[in-house]
Amino acid sequence: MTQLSPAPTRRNFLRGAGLAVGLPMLESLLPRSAQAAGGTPPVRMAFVFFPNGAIMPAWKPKEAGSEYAMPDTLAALKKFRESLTVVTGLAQDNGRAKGDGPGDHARCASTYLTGEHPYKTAGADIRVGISVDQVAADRIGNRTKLPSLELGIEAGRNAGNCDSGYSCAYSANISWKSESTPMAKEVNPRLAFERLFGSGEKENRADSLAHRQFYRQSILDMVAQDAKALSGKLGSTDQRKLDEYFTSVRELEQRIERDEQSVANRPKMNLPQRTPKDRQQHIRLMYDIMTLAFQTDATRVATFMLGNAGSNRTYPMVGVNDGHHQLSHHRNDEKKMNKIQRIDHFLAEQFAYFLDKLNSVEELNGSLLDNSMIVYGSGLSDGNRHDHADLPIVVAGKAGGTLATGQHLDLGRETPLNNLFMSMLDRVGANVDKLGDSSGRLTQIDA
Amino acid sequence: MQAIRESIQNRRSRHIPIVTAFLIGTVAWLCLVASTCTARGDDTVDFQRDVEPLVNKYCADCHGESEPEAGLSLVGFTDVDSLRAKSKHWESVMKMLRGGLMPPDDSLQPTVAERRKMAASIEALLFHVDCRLESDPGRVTIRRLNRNEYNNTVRDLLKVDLRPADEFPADDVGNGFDNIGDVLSLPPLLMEKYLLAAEALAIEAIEAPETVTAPKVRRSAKELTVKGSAANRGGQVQMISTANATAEFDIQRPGEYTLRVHAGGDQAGPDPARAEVLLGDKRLKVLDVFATRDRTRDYELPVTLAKGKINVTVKFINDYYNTDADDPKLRGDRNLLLDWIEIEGPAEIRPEDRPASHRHLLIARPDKEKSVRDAAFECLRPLVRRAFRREVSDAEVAPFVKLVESATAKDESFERGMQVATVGLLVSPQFLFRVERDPDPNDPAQTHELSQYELACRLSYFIWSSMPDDRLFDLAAEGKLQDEEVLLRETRRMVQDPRADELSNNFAGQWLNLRNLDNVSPDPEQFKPFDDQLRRDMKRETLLFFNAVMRENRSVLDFVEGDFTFVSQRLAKHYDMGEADQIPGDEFQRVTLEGKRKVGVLGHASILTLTSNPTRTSPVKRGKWIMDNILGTPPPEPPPNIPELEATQEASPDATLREQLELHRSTPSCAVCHTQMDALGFGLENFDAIGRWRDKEGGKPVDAAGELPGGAKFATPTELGKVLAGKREQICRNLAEKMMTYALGRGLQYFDRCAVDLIVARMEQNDYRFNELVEGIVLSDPFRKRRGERTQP
Repeated sequence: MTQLSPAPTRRNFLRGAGLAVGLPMLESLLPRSAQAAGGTPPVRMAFVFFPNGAIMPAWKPKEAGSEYAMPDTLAALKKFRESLTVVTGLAQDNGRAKGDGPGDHARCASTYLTGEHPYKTAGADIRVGISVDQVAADRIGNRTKLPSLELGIEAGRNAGNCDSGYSCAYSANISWKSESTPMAKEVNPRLAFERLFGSGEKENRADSLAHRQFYRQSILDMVAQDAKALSGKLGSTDQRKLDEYFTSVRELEQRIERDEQSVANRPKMNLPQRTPKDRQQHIRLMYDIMTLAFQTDATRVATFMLGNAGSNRTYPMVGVNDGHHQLSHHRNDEKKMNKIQRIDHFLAEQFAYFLDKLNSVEELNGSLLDNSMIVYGSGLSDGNRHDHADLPIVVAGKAGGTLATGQHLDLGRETPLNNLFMSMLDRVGANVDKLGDSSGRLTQIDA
Repeated sequence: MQAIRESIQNRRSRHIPIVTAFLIGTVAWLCLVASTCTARGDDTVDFQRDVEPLVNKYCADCHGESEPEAGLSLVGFTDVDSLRAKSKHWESVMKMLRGGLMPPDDSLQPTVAERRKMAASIEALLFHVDCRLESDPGRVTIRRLNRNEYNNTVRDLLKVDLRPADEFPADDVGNGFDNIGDVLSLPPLLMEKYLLAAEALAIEAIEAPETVTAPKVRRSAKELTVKGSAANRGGQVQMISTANATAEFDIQRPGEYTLRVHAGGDQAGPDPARAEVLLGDKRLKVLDVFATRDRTRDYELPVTLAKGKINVTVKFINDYYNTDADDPKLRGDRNLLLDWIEIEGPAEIRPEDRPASHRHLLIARPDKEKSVRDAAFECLRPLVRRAFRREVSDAEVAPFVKLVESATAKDESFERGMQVATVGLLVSPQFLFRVERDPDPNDPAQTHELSQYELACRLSYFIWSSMPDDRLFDLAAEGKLQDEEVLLRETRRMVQDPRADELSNNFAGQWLNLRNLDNVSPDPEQFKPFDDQLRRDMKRETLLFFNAVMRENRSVLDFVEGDFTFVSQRLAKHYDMGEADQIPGDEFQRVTLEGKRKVGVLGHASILTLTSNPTRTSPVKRGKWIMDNILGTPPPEPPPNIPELEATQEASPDATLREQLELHRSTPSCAVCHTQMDALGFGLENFDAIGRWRDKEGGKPVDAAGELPGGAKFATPTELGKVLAGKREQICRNLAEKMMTYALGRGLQYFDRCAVDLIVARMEQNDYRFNELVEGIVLSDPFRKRRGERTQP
């Protein structure tokens, strides 16, 4: 029954700017400004994480170099062979216990993109390090509507302990803005989309954009001052919390400014109101949104968690009705390994879907995939033994032709994963001297 | 005396407070399984007697004075003070010992008993606290509202029910709960959502002409009830002979509306098609519909509507059909074609028809005598006070008044200005964070009572997960809240208030891990009856049970031996209860349990399902759940790379789960923990992985018998419940620790033991009643006091 009350629509007050007409997909939606500089589109980076490691014999190519046979698990990626670099022999050493005892899953997620050792705590003093995506967002994020995009499939865990005395913040986030602030992820595709492109509802008559932005700026100005004044009266831990607030307010102010400047195109997309129950649909919608975000240059940096660390979800669509984590401790039982491999395979297929999408977007000098570098991997290799070395890592895309793709790069066992990240940061114009436990750059991937 | 105090203070100031409830739990666990139990708060442990010789024997070779391994020297310590000065180092030593990580394999190994003794002694020395001396209330980190608290607070503050926080990112959990200040962070994504939510809430709460458009409600042809010779074709009601179509509307606000009938006609005969418009039975007007089939159009009429459901009927009253008239002009077929019926309005809203939130917030308007500034102050003073949950000065209200003025300066309405000010309030740090102030925030010795308002907030967020109500505000304003009698009276009132359901939803939902039920997915092949409805009913049962224990002030031992529960028809069938059919529909009914399910929450399908694997029960998980959540004695984590169940399964593929686990326990390193964990879990083996009773598993009779370390035996779930209920002190202590963590919003530290001891004593003196638990927490020092921060060295 429709209620006849003059209730205003809720979402449209002061809502996201620029709700222009939808453009057909697959056309270049890249704003001119982004393409103009020397005619080259920007390089985008994304990091996809899957939980619980993989069945490595079915993941790791047997041969190194360009003549390798595509392993079973990655079969779905065959089509993109020439755009891929399979990198093995990378490690996240700081995921190891180092005297902290159990909790490898929490550690594997929190070190995945940071390369730092997380401080073991259930509550107070959460601390790990800044993740590679946030280093990039900090340096190049001001060029796009959103500095970075954080997506996920599983919301943070609701209750109890996550992993052996580690706060759930460690296992539910891979992106860390500061050493103590995880970047919460969006798990609802519709909300992720609206965050990028607005809700698309009509604006109210008198609620002009100018007024709206003016009020927002005044409000944020005022509360930022308020936070500063308040902070002076608090203890040092409380001050750190207020700093988080202050930083977030400042980012929001900058975003509003950028919104004002850019008249973004709002792509069309049919999205369910709630998070879809069908996992494949859910994952694909998230990949669609990442594609759109890159395509429209709404952001150049994204992270995506296919599950939280230690996730115990089932995958009934491929006949796996046991929990993922439970199965990952397979003790070399063939039946269980086979089930894990089916999960690995399913997730790789979804990743292939993403690459397909990226590949279908034309840009000036090739496809969107050619201008991207997407890391697909896990913070554990063998989930059964909680192995933090020889991680399953694929880099997809050519980063604008700067990557030597089409090969399997076998680096042995203990090269820091962060060396790869260092090389990636160079390619988006966010070079740093050191990141976590990096010991240099990964020159073997240079074209 | 003064000297003693000072020395204690010094000692404390040197200690780094990072010890959590986990450690407290570990001490208790050690007491349970080992003979080397450290008495609480006494001085039976002596460094030189209990620790030093062992350190010298097993550690000092590598960790000696010169060039020690890992830069860690363990010699040269003489007493407690010197130990505490290096508490981080010694904590790490303790962990290494417990985890079996040190000494390394190729060194001389201490015996299991020595290892335990060392760890327990170090712990006792580091975290010893004398409750006879002045207690340390600890310090709670500033907390931002979590999602539940945000939803509830805006509901109570603005009187709107939007629940915008449902779309916020999940709050991270620490120490088992999602309201821990240290863990709640504020990333930019959340700030964006705060702003959008604030804007949506302001619009919902306050009606401004700029944001309210009188809405149209249209009933399309498909939505109309059609009678007589008419058909619904191509999105149009086509009336070919006498017929009518009725639309139903639900009017929320009485007033002047515009009614529109969008119609046309197949014209024939001397007259145009005529439509009679009725409101209910009353004729409003007869329309001459001149429009044709190709060009249907709106016919408008004004109408005054009262609140409630109304029917608008359009009736075709002049059918005409003539194929053989002499005059060809008179030949033809007249029909009425109706596209939709629509109403728009009301044109003006009377003040009394504004929503409650609007009337509540807009208590003044500018007029000839009153400036915008004065009116804004009048509206905002009470609002800012309630939003900040404390007294505020005009100087603090002024910036919000300025926001109102910034809107009116742009020729926008006062109401619009109030919306903008409300947005400002809702994104202010003083609203989003629960701020507690100290006279000297960085002096840890500075212990003081919370302010009246701060205490009101602790109470309301603890019991209601929301802001204080008017009564609490009043008592705070009168300065009465720190009075113990008042505090107790208010606590009792609050527990009986419906808002206390939030304690059940948020505390019990997390304490018992109920929220994790949302994430389980039992194998659909094996467990066909399991679906989302059953999942919801399971959860509801346990929440209702918790509510009953709370509101009826029952014994907390009911959690393991309660003889009643609440079931829906669906759940009663799931439990195979005889009287299932007597329970109407979706309602829950209280039932008294007899016999086999009389085990409190341990017999709830919710708990039994969330502690199972998707394909089978997991006695280990169930046992661990009981140790974690009921007994408060979490087993230590397994050492890395121990053989799991499957290794033993390979050895004897036909063994039952119990036999397999027994094999597994034959390894001494596993037996230490699994003996108890498995026994507890097996006591519940009569319940399958979704909580149904079973007498057989895999064709073999279920064997639910077990024996705990110490000799307590049981053969059925009910007997297990009785055995557990015998562990009263442990159950009370665990609940007190868990609830105190939740109530304070911080992990417990070693010095909190004194407060917990008092709560447990209180419960023991009063039949373990639930109220003693809540009241004990409310009266405790950590709840009513705080101190400055100890800055990390």
